[in-house]
Amino acid sequence: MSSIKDYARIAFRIVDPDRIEIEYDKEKDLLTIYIDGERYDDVEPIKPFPLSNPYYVLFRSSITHEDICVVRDMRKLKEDQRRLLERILDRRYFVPSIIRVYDITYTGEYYICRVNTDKGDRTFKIIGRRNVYRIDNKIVIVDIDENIYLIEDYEKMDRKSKEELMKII
Amino acid sequence: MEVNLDLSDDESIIARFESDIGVDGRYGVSQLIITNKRCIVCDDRGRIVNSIDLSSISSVNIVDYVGNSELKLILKDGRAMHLIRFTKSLRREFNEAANLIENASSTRAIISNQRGEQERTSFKMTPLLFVLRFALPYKLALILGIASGIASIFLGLLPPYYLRILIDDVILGQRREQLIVIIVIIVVTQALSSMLGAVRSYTLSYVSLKVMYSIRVNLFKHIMRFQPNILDTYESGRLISRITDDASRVNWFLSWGLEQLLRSIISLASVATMIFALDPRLAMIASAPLPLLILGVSMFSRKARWVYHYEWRRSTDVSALLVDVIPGFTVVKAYCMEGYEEDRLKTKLNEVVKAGLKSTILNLKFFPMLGFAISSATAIIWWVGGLEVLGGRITLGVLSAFISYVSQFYGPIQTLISMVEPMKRASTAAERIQSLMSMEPSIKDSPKSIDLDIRGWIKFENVWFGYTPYTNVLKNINFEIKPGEKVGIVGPTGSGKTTITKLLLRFYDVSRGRILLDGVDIRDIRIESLRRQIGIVSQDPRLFNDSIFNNIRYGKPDATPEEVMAAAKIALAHDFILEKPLRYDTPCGEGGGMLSGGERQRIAIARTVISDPKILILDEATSSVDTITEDGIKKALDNIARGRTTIIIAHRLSTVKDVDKLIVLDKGEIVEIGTHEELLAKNGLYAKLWNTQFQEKPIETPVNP
Repeated sequence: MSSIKDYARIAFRIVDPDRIEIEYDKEKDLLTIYIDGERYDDVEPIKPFPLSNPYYVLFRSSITHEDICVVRDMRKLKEDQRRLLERILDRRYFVPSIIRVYDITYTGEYYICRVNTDKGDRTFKIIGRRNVYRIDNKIVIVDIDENIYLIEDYEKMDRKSKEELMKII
Repeated sequence: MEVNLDLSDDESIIARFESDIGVDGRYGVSQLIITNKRCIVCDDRGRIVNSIDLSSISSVNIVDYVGNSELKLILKDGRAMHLIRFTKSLRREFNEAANLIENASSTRAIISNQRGEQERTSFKMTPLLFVLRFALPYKLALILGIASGIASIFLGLLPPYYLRILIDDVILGQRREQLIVIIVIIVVTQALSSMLGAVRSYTLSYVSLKVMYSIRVNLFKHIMRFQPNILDTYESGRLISRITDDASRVNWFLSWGLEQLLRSIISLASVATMIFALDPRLAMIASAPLPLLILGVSMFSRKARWVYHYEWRRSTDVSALLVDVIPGFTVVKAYCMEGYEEDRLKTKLNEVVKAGLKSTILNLKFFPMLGFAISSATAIIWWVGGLEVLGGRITLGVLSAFISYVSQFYGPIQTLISMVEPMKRASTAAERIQSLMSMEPSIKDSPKSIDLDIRGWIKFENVWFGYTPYTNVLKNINFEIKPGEKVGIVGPTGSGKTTITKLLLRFYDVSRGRILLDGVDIRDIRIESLRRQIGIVSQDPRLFNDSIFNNIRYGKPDATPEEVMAAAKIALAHDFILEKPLRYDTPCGEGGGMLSGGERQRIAIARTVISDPKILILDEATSSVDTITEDGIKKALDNIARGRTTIIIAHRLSTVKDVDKLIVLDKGEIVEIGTHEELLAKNGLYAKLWNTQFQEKPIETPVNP
């Protein structure tokens, strides 16, 4: 009987951001990574905690589904490596952060939300509170088409946005 | 019915059961009395017709006939005795009597020491006084609120008085030099009154919300001190109602109710004195617009719908959390997460406080308008009063003062009328809260309780247990499990399998005998220490309305992300979690309702895995899933069971046939112990159950006509 701590250490190798090299295989849309010179092909970067811990990255073989390693904070990667990884992950994890809420109106069937996000302005529909989740201090909104929006910190929103959000949270 | 039982000194009555068939076999009355020594049957006149010593009873049965049943005893000398007859309507009651006789004859030593938590109904302190202590930390704010409310009443009496002086003495008396003085006095008085009103509203609202917070947190903390057997006394819905509905009703009394009562009485007495002193005839007329006033108040309450709606949703958030957590009480206790749940509740309650303050501010914006509407109802007084003035029967000043007082007269009347019902509700709610808070958990740590690093050696020694007195679910249970051993407990439904695990987790204490862990009686081990080292996966595991990550981490609140993923990996959940759009941040929904049964089960296994239990209990862990999912879950369970003392409870015997030892239970007793092969060779109950599940059935072929 080994403890969960021991097993976690074996199953999920934590890699120092300085010791990892990342290359992008454009054809396969996958990565090749080198850890201390050891090469791994066909690697998929995954954010296992995309909302609660968005800088945590798991590198996984897309062929064998073997978990190769984890980087606990991708912001600590070398500049070029970080940018490369960010570019790939941005495409895979499109979760715009809501900066301002212009208005939320109710049609009797849907709540129509007009918002400004870090990716631009957007109008989307939700059915009600069932589309709104709280994860720690964050608010996650999933619209009727399953697009995901994030409010990093409700308390830090402007007064008008908070008043509008009162209608759905 | 008077009965002379002639009881001996050490004999006492345990129960009485009245039958609806007399000893003559006709509809009538007869009675069965069970003492700690005898069973006695009396006729309708209270004469003893049968008496039998409990020590001479071998077994008790209820025999059903057409239209009636009878309680039949088999005595130790082999004789049968037909004790009492009753119609089918009393079948349930006499079933209880049969259980009682059976258990009393064998377990007389346990007389009602297993009552569990009992609600008290009489108290030294009245309920409203009892709950008043929740307001004590805010007594200064409460006193300030009440005092400012009362002061504003007296200030409110002054302007009409000065109005009379203004009209009669200053205007009509042509005293120009006093005009500005009177006007300033009136304005300052009104301003002071409004300020005091605002101070009153804010402080009382503050006290109200804080008291509610305090009552709810204290009730929640108190409930969390209990074991899951509290749900035998209270349904979870009732507990939730005490924390939500009862708390808010009591809170209303402690803050607003008390102040309104005092305020209304003082206000009414003062204003009534003034108006009757001014003009008794007009004072009588002033009572006429009362219905209009009530209508106006009800219309106002609809205006603030949205704000109240928002506030209500914050309250339902609290209820939703409680509905989620209270039914999962066993899980909270098993993982010793009382503190975590308390923090989650505090967060939600803080939001209730904020929302409540918002609605208070909105109320303050509306009250002046409502006041204007009330005063317009006095037009009728103007008309009658005007005629009085024109007729020279009263002065204009008296009329003006009267009108002012009348507007203050309606308020307290309406308040007092509307307070009768909530006062009653508050008193009843306070009583319910007091009864709950006065209860003490029957199972708790003793001063000599120790923390034990468990190796996993379990021993049940002559264990007897019943959820109710005299109804034993487990009878004289004896077995031993060595560290690292894997043991299956099997038996028909209701044989007491799950009860064994509940006793091991100390959700209940044994009635007799003892349970030893590594040689230490579990009653001497600190409850938290015990439960932290026992992991349980049940048939229908409860997940909380939180992310998958937080649900797994429930088993180890300080777990690293890698440990969470490792636990999920062992439970064969990692792959399906990574396929979900939000991965480990995916919400599970209420009770885990947004996941499939197999997914829920594997996340529950991960939650158990992460807690690194020394003893693992698998209670029908795969019985509610399909065969493919079961196969996956079995692999996951094999992963975690390796090297740990494991108890597997299963209906499907294929699940347990490879264990080190099987314990076969029937009607609360161990009937067989051995390996799968040994028990099959024995050809007893296990073999019968095995053959029932796996015997080949003849293939039916259709016969051509």
